[in-house]
Amino acid sequence: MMPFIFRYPISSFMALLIHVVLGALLVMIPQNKVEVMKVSLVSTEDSAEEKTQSENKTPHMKTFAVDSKQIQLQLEKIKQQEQKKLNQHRQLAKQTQAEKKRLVEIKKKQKIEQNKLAAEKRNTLNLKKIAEKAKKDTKLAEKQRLVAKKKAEEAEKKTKKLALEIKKRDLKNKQLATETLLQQEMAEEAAQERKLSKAKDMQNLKEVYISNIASTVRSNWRTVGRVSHKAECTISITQTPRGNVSSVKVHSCNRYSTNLFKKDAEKAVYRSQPLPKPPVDELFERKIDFIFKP
Amino acid sequence: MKKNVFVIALFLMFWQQLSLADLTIEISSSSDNALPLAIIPFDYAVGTKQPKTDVAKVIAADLFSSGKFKVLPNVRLPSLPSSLGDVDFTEWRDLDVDNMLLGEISMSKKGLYNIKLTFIDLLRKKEVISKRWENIYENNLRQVAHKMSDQIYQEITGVRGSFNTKIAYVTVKKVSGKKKYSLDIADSDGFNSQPLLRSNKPIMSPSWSPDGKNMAYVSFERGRSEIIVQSLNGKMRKVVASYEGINGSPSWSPDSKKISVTLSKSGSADVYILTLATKKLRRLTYNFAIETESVWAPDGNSLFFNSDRRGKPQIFQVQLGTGAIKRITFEGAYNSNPAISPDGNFLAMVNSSGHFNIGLLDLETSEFNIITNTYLDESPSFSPNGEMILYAMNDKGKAKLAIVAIGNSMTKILSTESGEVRAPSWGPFID
Repeated sequence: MMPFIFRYPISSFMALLIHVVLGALLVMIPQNKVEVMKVSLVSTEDSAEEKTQSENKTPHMKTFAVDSKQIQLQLEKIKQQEQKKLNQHRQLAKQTQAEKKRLVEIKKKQKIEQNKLAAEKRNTLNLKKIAEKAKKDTKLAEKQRLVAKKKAEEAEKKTKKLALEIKKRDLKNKQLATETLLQQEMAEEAAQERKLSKAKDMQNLKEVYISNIASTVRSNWRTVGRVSHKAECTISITQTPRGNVSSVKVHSCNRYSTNLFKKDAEKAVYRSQPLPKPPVDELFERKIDFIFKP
Repeated sequence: MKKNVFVIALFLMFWQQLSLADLTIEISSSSDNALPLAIIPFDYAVGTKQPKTDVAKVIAADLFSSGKFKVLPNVRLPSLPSSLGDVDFTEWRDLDVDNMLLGEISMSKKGLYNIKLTFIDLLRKKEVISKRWENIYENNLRQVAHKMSDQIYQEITGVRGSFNTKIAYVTVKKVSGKKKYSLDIADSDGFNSQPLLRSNKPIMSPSWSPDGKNMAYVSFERGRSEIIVQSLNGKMRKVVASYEGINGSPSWSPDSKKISVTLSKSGSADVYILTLATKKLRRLTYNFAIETESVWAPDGNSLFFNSDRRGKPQIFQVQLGTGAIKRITFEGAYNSNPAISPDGNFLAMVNSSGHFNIGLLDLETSEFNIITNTYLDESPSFSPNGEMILYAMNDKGKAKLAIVAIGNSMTKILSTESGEVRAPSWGPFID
């Protein structure tokens, strides 16, 4: 571990950084969201309470001492004023009532609103919850899916592997079969070929055999006469299985071949006794023909 | 050399009987590519007088000297069969012997020799030559041997043998400080030599007529060079050219009716043709240089001769029909003494690029080879079968003859015990 870090400091740092950042992100991102939502909810509630408190405040009443007439008057006046006041009061009360009514109305409204909001909030929460849950679910599902997938994959892999193995085995079997077949075919072919190639080999061997004889004869060629190097004849030899020559015929000669050449070619054959044996006994030929050039 | 001899010859006038002596033979080299041959010692019938001539030995020497045979020494013979039926072929094959010669010699009622010779092919297991000669004089046994050698040679090489032929040559001996000359004729192996002419004066350039009846030669017997034609039976001898100056180098036409000669009657030496019956002379060359040593081509249509018209001697050819002259030799600075092979395909000559040796030029392919390794070689002459060349050479200051087998350099040297031998000429086949 340490050597790895020392060896790749930048990469390790980057890896660490990435991990830290990722970790931070993981912690921060969902909390923030929740906070933001909360804040918004709280603020809405607070403002509604404040309004309610201010609407609920009631005004204080004042009391005074006065003469008869004046008092009357004053009484009257007071009466009047009272009346007025009453009226005013009434009115006020009325108004207050109305206001109250309105307030109640408003409150109602507000409540409705609030409910609405709450509902909304609840809704949102629910939604959020749902979302989260969904998210969680999704995640879980994803996880499950992944696991499942993995499992499936593994299963598939296994299946595939199995299938492959089977296939392989099949193939192998098939191959084996094919091979066997091929081998059989080959064997048959080989047998056929062997027959042919044996014939061919035999042909080749025969050529080797004959050329052995020819070269032996050539190596035993001797002349003290004047012979053209262009002289060429066919030599036909009849031999015994032991390679002894029973007869030699020198024929089909070109125009450079003198009688001496023919005679010396014949002698070269006799000098070559016993003639080389064939590489395989069955190749022995009683009669051998080859073209002779000194 | 001839000129020196010519000068010296003028002072020698004596005639004296020369002692007769066969040429001795010495084989100087051998051949690798020779066929092994067994010659079984001949079977002499009871009561047969042992002749002086060992026929088997003569045949063995003939065949060996051709370079084409090697004869198994008697001590190595595994058995001595007397007929084909006696032969154990395997023991001879083990010795790598291909051929065998058997002989029976008996006396005839006349006291002469009867000879039966059988040549056996050990490979084909058959008699390939079987010959009988009856009532043969002892002196003729060598000839019988040579005839058998010829037969064997032909059987093996496909070419007629030339053992039973004659050679002519000049011997020079010093007797009491004086040089004695003799024109001798001998068998091809140097035996049975007989003088045709003896002289105190030089004898040069003997030449056989192709019909074998006459000899032409140069003699100084009358103090100057003359060309003489003499019959071998001794019945005819006449001077055919005795012109002023040089009369030299006679050579017979193939039909034996003309001789070409070198004459200097018109100043420089030139080649002429002399028709013997009419004595008519035809001049062939017109050159201030020396033209000499002419020889006829076998077809009779041209002559080869030696000319120093280019400074040093070279061989030229003159066409008798047109008179056209063509240079033939280009190898070496010096080429003289031309001799043409019987088939006309080869020209032998003395060639020199420092050493004087016999060169052989293939006229068809222009291939040239030196075929001798002796010293101061001169006067080459082909055997009638074209397989050998007889020539003169110098061995430690002494002139001798040598025969070289063309193709294998087998060389046989012929010499006299005292004196020198030179100017050889190989005679034609004797039929």
